[in-house]
Amino acid sequence: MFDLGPHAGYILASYAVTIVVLTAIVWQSMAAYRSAKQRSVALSTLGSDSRD
Amino acid sequence: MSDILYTIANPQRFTRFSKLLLPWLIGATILAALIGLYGAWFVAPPDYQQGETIRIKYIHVPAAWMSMFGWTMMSLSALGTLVFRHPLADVAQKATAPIGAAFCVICLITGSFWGKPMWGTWWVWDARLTSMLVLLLMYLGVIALWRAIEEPSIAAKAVSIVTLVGAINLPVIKFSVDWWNTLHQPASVLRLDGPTIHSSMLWPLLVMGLAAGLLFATLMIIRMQTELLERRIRRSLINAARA
Repeated sequence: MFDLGPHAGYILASYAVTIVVLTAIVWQSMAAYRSAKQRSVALSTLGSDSRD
Repeated sequence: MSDILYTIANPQRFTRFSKLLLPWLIGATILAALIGLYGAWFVAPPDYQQGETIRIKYIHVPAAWMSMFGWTMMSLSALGTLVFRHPLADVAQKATAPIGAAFCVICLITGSFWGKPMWGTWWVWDARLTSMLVLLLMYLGVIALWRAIEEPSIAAKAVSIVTLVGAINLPVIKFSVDWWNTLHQPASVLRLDGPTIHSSMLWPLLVMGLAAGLLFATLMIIRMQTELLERRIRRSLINAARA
């Protein structure tokens, strides 16, 4: 790894914060989609069951 | 172009179209991020004044661009909601706010991490930094407003008005460094007379900007699909309750 100089901590902290925030928004977006998809499928299954 | 927009205006067509587009967007995002990071860390030289701290700019600047792009998208969607009553406009608006807020948080925090070693302070109340903080507060306000009003069509109208009023802040952010005497340096990429930074630093920055834009688009499509599903669930539950 190359030398980042006296401000290495600030540089690495910036990238770390970026990774944390982006991971959080990607995870939250995917989790919300999966949850909505599951509920939608469950609801349509329930609907088709009740019509039978 | 208008034909394409009309074709995907239908929520079901949009869902089908976005399912085809999503894998390509994810692939392009990863590829652009890898190329951009390679350029930012292994090709771009240290700055003659800032030294290695310039590496922060490759995430700070794209995050700032995306923060402003997010509100621009929301403003266009607000017009789509209020003027054209486009069926996907308020869905896009709701999907965009958290993504814009996330990029705004990254911009402000990485800006502080750059400011401390370069300016000797984490924060100053200068026009650029303050207007960017105002943008974050506006994002949070809009997210809160979406949650506070249960009926999506009523929430969409309220949020659209707030968004269009808040759009006044966009030129303030962009031109704050020209209008006032600020600690923040003036624009060095998006200028009428062209970029003022060396090409070895410029292309990694532009590729990182592209990666951020592709990530923004990817997340926006996922969140729009989620919102469409949520609305379908809500309609089903209301219909079931009425039956």
